[in-house]
Amino acid sequence: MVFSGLTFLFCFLPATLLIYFAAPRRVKNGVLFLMSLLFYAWGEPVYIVLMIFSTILDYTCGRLVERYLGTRKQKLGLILSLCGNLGLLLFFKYADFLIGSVNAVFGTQIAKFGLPLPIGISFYTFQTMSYTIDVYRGDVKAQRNIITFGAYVSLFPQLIAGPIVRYRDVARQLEERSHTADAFADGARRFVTGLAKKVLLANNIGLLWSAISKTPAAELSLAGAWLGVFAFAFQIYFDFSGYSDMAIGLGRMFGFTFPENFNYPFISKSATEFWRRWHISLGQWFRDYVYIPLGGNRRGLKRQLRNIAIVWLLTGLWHGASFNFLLWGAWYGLLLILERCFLLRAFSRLPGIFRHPLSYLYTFLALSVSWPLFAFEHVSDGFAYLRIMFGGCYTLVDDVTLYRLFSCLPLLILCAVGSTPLPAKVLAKLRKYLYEGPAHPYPTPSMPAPSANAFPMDAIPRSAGKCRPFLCGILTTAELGGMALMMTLSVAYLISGSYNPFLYFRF
Amino acid sequence: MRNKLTVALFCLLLFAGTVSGVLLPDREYSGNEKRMLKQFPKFSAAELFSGRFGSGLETYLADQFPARDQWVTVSTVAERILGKKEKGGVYFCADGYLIEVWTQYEKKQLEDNLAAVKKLSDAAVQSGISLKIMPVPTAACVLADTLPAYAPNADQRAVIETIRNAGLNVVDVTDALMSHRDEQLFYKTDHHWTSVGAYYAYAEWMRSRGKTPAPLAEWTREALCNDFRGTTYMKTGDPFAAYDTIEAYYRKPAHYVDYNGGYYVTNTIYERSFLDGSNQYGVFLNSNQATTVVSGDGEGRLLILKDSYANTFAQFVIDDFEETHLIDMRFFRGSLQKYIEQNRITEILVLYNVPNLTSDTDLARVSR
Repeated sequence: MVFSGLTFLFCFLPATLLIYFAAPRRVKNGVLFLMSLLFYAWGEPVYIVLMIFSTILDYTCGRLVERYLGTRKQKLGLILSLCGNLGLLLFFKYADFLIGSVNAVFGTQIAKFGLPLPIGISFYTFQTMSYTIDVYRGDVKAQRNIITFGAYVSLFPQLIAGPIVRYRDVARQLEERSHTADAFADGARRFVTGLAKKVLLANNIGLLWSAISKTPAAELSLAGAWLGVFAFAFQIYFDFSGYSDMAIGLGRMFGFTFPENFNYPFISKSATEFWRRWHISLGQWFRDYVYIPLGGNRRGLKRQLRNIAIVWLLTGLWHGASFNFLLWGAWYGLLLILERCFLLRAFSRLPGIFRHPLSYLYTFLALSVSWPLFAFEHVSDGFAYLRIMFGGCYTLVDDVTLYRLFSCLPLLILCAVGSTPLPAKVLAKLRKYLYEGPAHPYPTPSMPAPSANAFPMDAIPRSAGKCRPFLCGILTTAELGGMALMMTLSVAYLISGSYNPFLYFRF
Repeated sequence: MRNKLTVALFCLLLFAGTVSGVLLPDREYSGNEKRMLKQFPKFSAAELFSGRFGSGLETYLADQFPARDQWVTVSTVAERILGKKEKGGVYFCADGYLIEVWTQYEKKQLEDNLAAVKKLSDAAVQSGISLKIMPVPTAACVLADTLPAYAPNADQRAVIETIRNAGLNVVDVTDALMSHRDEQLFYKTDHHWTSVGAYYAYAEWMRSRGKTPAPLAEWTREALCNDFRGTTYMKTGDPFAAYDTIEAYYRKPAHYVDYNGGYYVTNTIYERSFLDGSNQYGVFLNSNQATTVVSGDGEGRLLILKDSYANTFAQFVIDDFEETHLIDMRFFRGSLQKYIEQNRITEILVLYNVPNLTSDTDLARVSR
């Protein structure tokens, strides 16, 4: 099941909310576990077995590790868990890729499995591994209650598209969490924003990308290729971050606080910064469980560069089992290595007026090169596309591109503005003004900075001072209206997605 | 307060959708979309485990959502506000025209069709029958200046040139239509031409036969309906779409009309029962029939091989001939050669709109 579907919005979510809030405190985790299994089973009923297997495996391994902690057998559970999870991932996600590669290299004819990829397997195997590793490191206690642990593994809000919630992030909340109207309201706002980002922005700009990506390379113009890259970047950002917003929002409704996953990645001034703002929870996972154990940056430059290369090749592969993702990861690995070696230092030495424009331009180009590698499964298609972007084409601008540009211009502007912190900042300023009066000559520290990539309206501090009731009333009304509008429009787009008139149109 | 209101609003929106969906009865058929709506999916273990139940439920919820038509309208309005220039393969054009997108065609299919028509033409000429072909440019060509800026649009004049180069006797009505562009030659909400558009093509055809066409004023005009919203409206669901008027032009109200070899015989070419239904253009010559014969007081027996564009065109020619035969190759099974001989046809006109000429897969059978 997906969040941006009518089944979820009008069947699953209302039912889950009703049952969850009606249930007594001690069975709430059980309710979450059961509903999450149902949620998972919807798409691929058979693979629910994997989820239950993964739950039991890591529950057992966690207990094993804890029992033997400090003895020679302490590694047993850890190895079992790593083998189990990585085995699942390898078998279901990478087996066919490996077989294909072996066949290509050695000319063999090994048959592929052809199994469908279990939804979210990359997310939940990483989550459960983090649990056993943290128990092994003594960072958290093993969970004794298998239902509670099951609720963590299968927790439906972040099950299929992240953020990757490490066990230690929610260990306390699993045992003890409060449900307040404030948290629920925060969650609802966040959820609706995410829904709108996904349904209104990502899906629609995605239509532009799919039209452009289907154009044969020979018919594409330079401007068309660049328009396509913009469309794809916005599609993937609003799709992915919208999904994370929905997950975080749902988590808030059920009393959880999940880590943030995006922090306006498109305002980055380097690839290094981009990866601190893009898919943050994955970056953290690789940092904590691969990069640092390999020695991080504390064992000399050579080791650090090697570690960067390993982490970004793995990051690339994590996104999908094919060579284009490996190449995509390698591209970022290369950029990060160059930045570590000299680029960042070079930028910092530039005079102020050049520094920002140049680093923005560099980052923009670096990202623009990365998207076609990510988007096209066949590496050759990605390269052909890149060639057109950088001048290997017959035309600069064609009519189709102008037509597409004009019909998508308002949407593109919305996407561009929406991917910067501007809306959140403006709203925060407005709220602050309404609460505290005209800007003070001296800055007051009472106002917290807008939280990372939060819903614009989240940035508004709750009753920071004297409110002017009338103006605040207007703002609150506008805010509720905005929420109702986003929800209504999203539902309208979902419903009209099946608008499919039957016509005797040639007759 | 702000947060409590937020919670209340969110739950209201969520549960209002759910509760009204459960309470309101399901519809079987959508008048707006002219199709059966999805009913509650069959539930069984097999259906569930194959995932068919899940996808069926999603379609069911979308189809049966309370006030579905209004929701679709909301999204269409939002799309228009966001500057979308097309929907469902239809351009939103100036002056309220909704015009079908036509950007490319199969060269092979066109060549096959032309080869077949050429073969028919050669055979006809040998028997002393004249054959002309009238490829009618659609609104996308004649009203190209109303299309959104830079909108992709295939070149229909080039197709007509290809037809001419195939050695066929072409009646090119493009200029005739272009010079009357300020009149309503096409429906705003349908892919067909109007009776007025068909008249100018008729006049051009008459001139190509060396005759002087009578002025349009000689025909009696009757508005058959003025609430027509046709195919391009339905494809967009555009709530702002205009209503078109369907007009009939006739010299005398009654004709002897025989559909499909005596299967249905009536005394008018206007089948008014269509005006109450959804396919109002079908009022002309009973929508599309395999064979239609209309008797008139003129001389000669004309055969029109046609798509639906000929249905309005026929109004103007039926009185010039003793018999006007219309054959729709999509439904006609049998030998055309034999039909021509048996009915002692004296003149043939192939009338299709340009996109149909390039895509129709039944036209190639005319040479049989």
